[in-house]
Order: sequence, then C-alpha cells, then structure tokens
Amino acid sequence: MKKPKTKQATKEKFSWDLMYKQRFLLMMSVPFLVWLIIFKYIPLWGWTMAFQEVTPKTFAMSVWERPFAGFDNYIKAFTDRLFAQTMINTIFISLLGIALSTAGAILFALMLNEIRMQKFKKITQTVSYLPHFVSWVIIASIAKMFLNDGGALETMLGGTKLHLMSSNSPMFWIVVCLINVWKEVGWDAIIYLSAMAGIDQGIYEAAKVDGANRFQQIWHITLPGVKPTAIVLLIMSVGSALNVGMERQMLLSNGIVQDHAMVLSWFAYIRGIGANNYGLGTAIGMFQSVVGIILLFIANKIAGWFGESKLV
Amino acid sequence: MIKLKTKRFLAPAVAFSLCSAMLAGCGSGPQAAGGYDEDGILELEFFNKDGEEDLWDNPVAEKLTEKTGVRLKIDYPVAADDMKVALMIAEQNFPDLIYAKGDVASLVEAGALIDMTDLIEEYGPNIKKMYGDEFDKLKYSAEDPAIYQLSSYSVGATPFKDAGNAQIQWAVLKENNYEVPRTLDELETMLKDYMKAHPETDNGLSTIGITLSTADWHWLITLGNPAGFIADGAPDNGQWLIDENYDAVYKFRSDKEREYFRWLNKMYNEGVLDHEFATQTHEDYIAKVASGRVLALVDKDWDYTDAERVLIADGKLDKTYAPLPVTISEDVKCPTLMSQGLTTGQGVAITTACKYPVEAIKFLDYLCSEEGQVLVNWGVEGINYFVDENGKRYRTQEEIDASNSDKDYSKRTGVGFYAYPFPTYGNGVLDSTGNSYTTISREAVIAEYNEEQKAACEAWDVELLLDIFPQKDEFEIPKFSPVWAYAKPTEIEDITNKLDEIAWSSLISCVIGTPEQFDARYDDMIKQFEASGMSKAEQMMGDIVKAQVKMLEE
Repeated sequence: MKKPKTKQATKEKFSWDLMYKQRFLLMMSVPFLVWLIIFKYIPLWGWTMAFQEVTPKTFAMSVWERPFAGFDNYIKAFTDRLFAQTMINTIFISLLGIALSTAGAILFALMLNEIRMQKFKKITQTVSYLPHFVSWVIIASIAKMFLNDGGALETMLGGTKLHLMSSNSPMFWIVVCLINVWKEVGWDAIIYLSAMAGIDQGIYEAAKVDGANRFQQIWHITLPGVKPTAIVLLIMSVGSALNVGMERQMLLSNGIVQDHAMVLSWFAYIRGIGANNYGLGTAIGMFQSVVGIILLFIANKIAGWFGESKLV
Repeated sequence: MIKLKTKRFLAPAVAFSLCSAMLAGCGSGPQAAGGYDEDGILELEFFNKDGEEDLWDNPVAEKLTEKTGVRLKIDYPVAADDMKVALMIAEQNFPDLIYAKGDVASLVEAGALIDMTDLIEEYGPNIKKMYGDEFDKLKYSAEDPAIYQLSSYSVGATPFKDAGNAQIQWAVLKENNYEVPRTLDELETMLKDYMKAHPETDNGLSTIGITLSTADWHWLITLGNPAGFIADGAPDNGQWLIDENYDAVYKFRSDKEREYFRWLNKMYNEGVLDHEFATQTHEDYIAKVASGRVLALVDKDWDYTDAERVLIADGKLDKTYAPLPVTISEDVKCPTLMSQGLTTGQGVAITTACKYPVEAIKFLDYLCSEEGQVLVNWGVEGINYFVDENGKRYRTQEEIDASNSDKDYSKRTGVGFYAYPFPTYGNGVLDSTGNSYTTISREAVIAEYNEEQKAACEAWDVELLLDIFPQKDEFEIPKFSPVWAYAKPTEIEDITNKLDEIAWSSLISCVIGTPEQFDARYDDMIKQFEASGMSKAEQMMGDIVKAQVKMLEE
C-alpha cells in the first residue's frame, strides 16, 4: 500500500506564481503586519536612547542633538550594586515560578479530572480560578495580612517567629512563587483540563481491561497526553522568563526584603524613571529583551530534543 | 474586488499618517497651562508634591483670589512615591508653579525653572522683607547663584512645640512621678516596668513598648533620623553628619549610631520593640498608635498627629505623647531646639512654561505680605479669628478645639492650609501690630495645653514643655542651611540613593537579628557602603557645604 502523503510533507517552494495564487490570503495579513510594524517595530527606534545620555539636562533636545554615550549606560547598569542580585532574583523567581506553577496546575488539573461528581468539580474549578481575576493589589494585602510578622499564620502557630516576609534572603522568592501559585493555579489548570478532556476515552477503557489502576492510568495515559501542551506552555513562559511582573514584586516587598524582591523590570524603572536617567533605563530594558529572545531559542531547542514540535 | 483593492492602498496610507502624527507629537515644546477666564481671573496651575485634593473653594482660597485675582488649579501626586515630576520633564509639560520638593535638581538641570532674582527685585518687596538677612541663602548654589525657588519652610521660627528626640505616653510618665528619662537606659527601664505592670490595655490589646514605621520613606523619620538625634546629638542634616571643618560623613557609619541600633536590637529581642514593625505598613503603624497600646515612639509630631487626634477624640488623653530630650548618654545634648537657620533648597518655583511670571510673583509676594500672612495663618477676620479692643488677635475656644480635633479643619476652612509649601513666617515672629503671624505663640501654646500637659508643666515647674530641653541659645547657628533640604547634583543623589537603599534594609536586618548577628550585619552594611561610592559622595557633599559657607561669607 502506498503511504498517503501528509499535508505537512508537501512543502511548496516559494515562487512569485504561488504568491499570486495566494494573493487574497496575503492581503488579509497586511493589516496585522502594519499593526505589528507600527506598534512593535517603529517604537524600537527608542532603543537609540540606550546609547545616549538622556537625563533632565538633555530631555528637551531632539534625538539628533543628544550627546552620544556609547556603552556608558550598559557599563553603569552592569556595575550597579543591585545588578547581579537583580539578575539572580529574576532568573530564580521565574524558574521557580514556572516550575511551581506548572507542577501545581498539572496536579490540580489531575485532581479535578479524577472527580466524578460533576457539580462539585464545576464549583471547585470556578472557586479556584476566581483569584486570577483579582488584582495584585488585593492579593498582596491579603497575603501580607497572612504572612507578615505577627500575621494570621504566626498567630495560628502560636507566635513562633517565622520571618517569612522579614528576612533579607532567598526565602522571599519561595514566598512570592507560592502566592503566585495560589492566585493562578485554577486558571492555569483550565488548559490542562481541556487537554485531558481531549484524550481518547478508548485508551482508558483499554487500560482498564488490561487491569491498570487509577494511578497507573494517570501515569501512563493522562500525563503523556498533556505533555505536548505542557511543553508548548513551558516554551512560552521561558521566553518571557525575564519579564517578572514588577507590580507583584513592588506590592509584596517591604523595606527589608527589597534586595531579594528586585527584578529587572523594576530595576529599569527605579534606575531609569526613578533616577531620571532614561538612557540607563532603556539600556536595561534592551538587555532584558535580548536575553529574552536568546532564552526563547534555547527553550525551543530543548523542546526539539524532547521530540515535540517546535514553536519557532 | 474593488473594495479589496482600496483596502490595499488604504493600509499604507493609514500607516503613513500614523507615523507622521507620531513624529509631529515628538516635536512640540513646553506648553503653558494657565490662562484668564471670562471673569478676568487668572488661573495658574500649581503642582504640589505634598498636596492633597483641593478645589480652591474654601473661604481662605476665595479671599486670596479676591485680593490677587489669581486662582490656583492644584495638582498633586496620587501615590506616595510618585514619578510625576520625572514624567513632567520627559513630556516637557510643566504647570505654572511647582513645588517639587526633592526633585528640584532635575528640574533645574532640565532648565525648567526661571530665575526669580530680577522679578523679586521689581515686584517682590514683601518677599525680600520676609527673608531679610537670609535672602542670599535662597541662591541655588555657588556656581549657579540664581534664585529658582522660595523656601517652603518658615522664617525665623522659635520652637514652642516639638516632639523632641523620642515620645512617651503621659500615662507612663505619671506612674514615674513625671521623672524625665534622659538616657536610653532610663527609658528602657521605664518601659519595661510599665509593660510588666500593664501587659494589656483596657480593651485587651497587648502593650507595645516602641514601634517603628519602616515600610516606605517613613523609615527615614522613625529609624534613620532618631539615630542622629539620639546618638550623635546632631541636628537634622538628612543622612549626613557635618563636622566643624564642614566635612561630611554618611551618618550610619558613625560608631555612636551603631550603639543606638544595638540598643534597638536589644529592645527587639527583649520584646520591648514591636515584633511586627519590619513588615507593617505606615497605616498599620498609625492604627497601632491610635489604639493607645504603644508606650513610646521615636517619631515627629507631624507624622503621628492623626493618631493623636483619634486618641483625644476617644478620651484617652493620657495615651497621647510627651516630648522627651532623651539621648544615648548624659554627655550628648538633645539638639531639638537648636536653630539651623533658614531651610532652603525646597520651595515653590515658577516654571518656564508660565506665561504670566509677573502675576505669579505678585501672587507669591501677596502671600508674603502682612495681610496675606495673617489671612493664610489665621483665616478670615470675624469668622476664624477676632480682634479685641487692644488690637490683639484671638480665636474662640470653639475654633481652637475644632482645629485640634477635627482632622479636616484646615482643609475645610483653609486656615493654615496654604502656609506650607508657600513662604511663611515662623512661630513667634511679630507683625507691625505686635501680634504673632502664626496662631502659635508662646502664650497661645501655653493657653492651649490640655490637662495632661498642664499637669506636667506644674510637676516640672516650667511654663513650656520644651523648657526641659537644652535651650536654643546653648547652640550656635550653623553657617550653612540644613543639608537634608539641599538640591543636590544628580551625581551625589545617585550615590546617596544607593547608600540609602543599603541602609534601609540592612538596618532593619540588624535590628531584627539576634544580638550575636548584630556586629557582623552592621560591618557588612558598612562594607557595602564603601563598595557603593560612599567616600566619593562624602567628599562631594563636604565640598558643597564648604562652597555654600564661602558664598554666604562673601
């Protein structure tokens, strides 16, 4: 029997003739290209500020008149006392965050998936993703009430000093990531739940016939079933690993933990807008983008090793 | 088909027009904000960094408009640490008048403020009169002797009210027969004894010895500043100690301050200092003080006054606070009453965007005049104050009570609302009729004492509570204006910001660690200071102070 050619395999070569054949399709993409160029690429000329001295002295000047600073802004950013700490914080908070929230979401989705009582499942799911819609301002104040020195948690434990929010140490990373898991777990689980719903029920039946118990079914059917979804989501989150949300960090931090709460975007804000040195802020932001792109390609490569389809 | 084709041409056209709109937007220069309305009243936009919502509709504001033909449209920051001034500079969009507080250096560097020297010469006789001998202190710096701003702080004040170095509840003092703790050790025993005798307040809350507010910039007020006052006996020069040769030292590296923080650490570990202080917000702090469970503070009255009003309204007068001249040891003199001369470096300025600088300066000049000062400080005659047959200004008891207990009094009536950040005479300065410019005079302060304060004066056998402090004439007036308010060049500001960042979290860590960890953490902090350019900043700061002293001597 001749193997039927799959559609992916027939990769047509680029030709003007093909372009003409698909002209309507191409035309339909033009507005989005225009949007992309106007809002994503043209603003990139602002990156020139990273190589100029942009302080109050030179704000009023036009782009062409501002003094050229070469790599001074980069040197200043990289030698800043907070830079190394900020990088470490950003990377660890985001890696820890990705790991904890992926694991949490899959675990939670599995638990929901195993519930047989439909009504209870629906209610649990709705309740669990409610915090996703609540802003960080509110989540942060709830979390602080709970975790602060003398807060609800310490009171429950009979007044032991936990210093959860008052030790200038990496403990803060864990605290932040766990709060994030609490806020987002229900929402993140939705995608995994739908992936699980898409698994062919026949496979489960076959497994049951072969005598697999519930845990074996989860291990051999459900988890492999959601693997592609998990990998795609991981790639996407690694690409934005350096974009740790600034507002979350600012709201949860306090005087003592700020060195470990500092992340790149906040650092760019404090040193750029806060200190009125926009050149420096742009340099940090540019660095963040470039590293983000590199990370994205690395993650994509890794996904390839896992035998999954690549995104880019 | 035809439709599709038009779309194809439309998209680039739209893109092009958007691009040109963007480019055009970048080219516009500073814009003026204010203008005349149909009644011939000039509206000036005023940004007040320390402001709050104000529609310019209280009686004092209306009177000011009647007298000057100017009304202010007041803008203010919505959050505590706000980037509004930075954004103004980036957008090149300024109000007419601005009080930028600590951000003034960047405005000057951006060339956004006008030099008022000639305008004051021509239109500002009252401004000149108000500043008198200290007028030259308004000059920006030795290299740039322009006057960009007036001072937002009072001129020639004699302190009649102050919170001193630390504060303690009257209830605690009464138990100790009004014995005044002069050193930290005495304060410590007093607090411990009281906490042992009263572990809980009347409403069942546990008693707290001392609490601090360190969540935001208030750490400077309750954690940073008291260290200088109590340990070094130094007046407020921000983060700097200035010695007799005008050399500057970043103060947290002083050995005496280390001892002060060691004391705080001890208090924390012994349960006198609030276990929750490191993570509480300023609102939590005020709420705690207002509940009457905090025995002692190291704060300033302007900061905790809201809490004290609540205590008064609740009838817990004995839980309000007495000022203390406490220092680390007998040989350190409490600097509370030391006069530092005029504070300059922060004040109201006119921007280059203002189309009516002459009108603006005339408005400011009216505020500095005798009539304007009385209006701003006392309110409207016949409503807020009266004049008796001897020409003496007085307020009714009702008015005085309202001003002490109603926290919206000032905003509602406008009395005292525009004294800060505009130029104003200090307490105890007399006008041409022999009355004090402000409502606060020695007699008025004594007359307005509540029972607790009166009882204390009697017990101490003094007229004024502050009479127990080392007096003003025991100190020499420094030849430079207080360093904390200086508009510093951004280079120093950059380093100082970093030093402060380090100090903020490290000092809290030092305090909440175990006593064994204390020295290691403190040494580590100083090592970090050194790595962040402390000596360079000290050098530059010292040079600035020296340059100002030299300029004023000439």
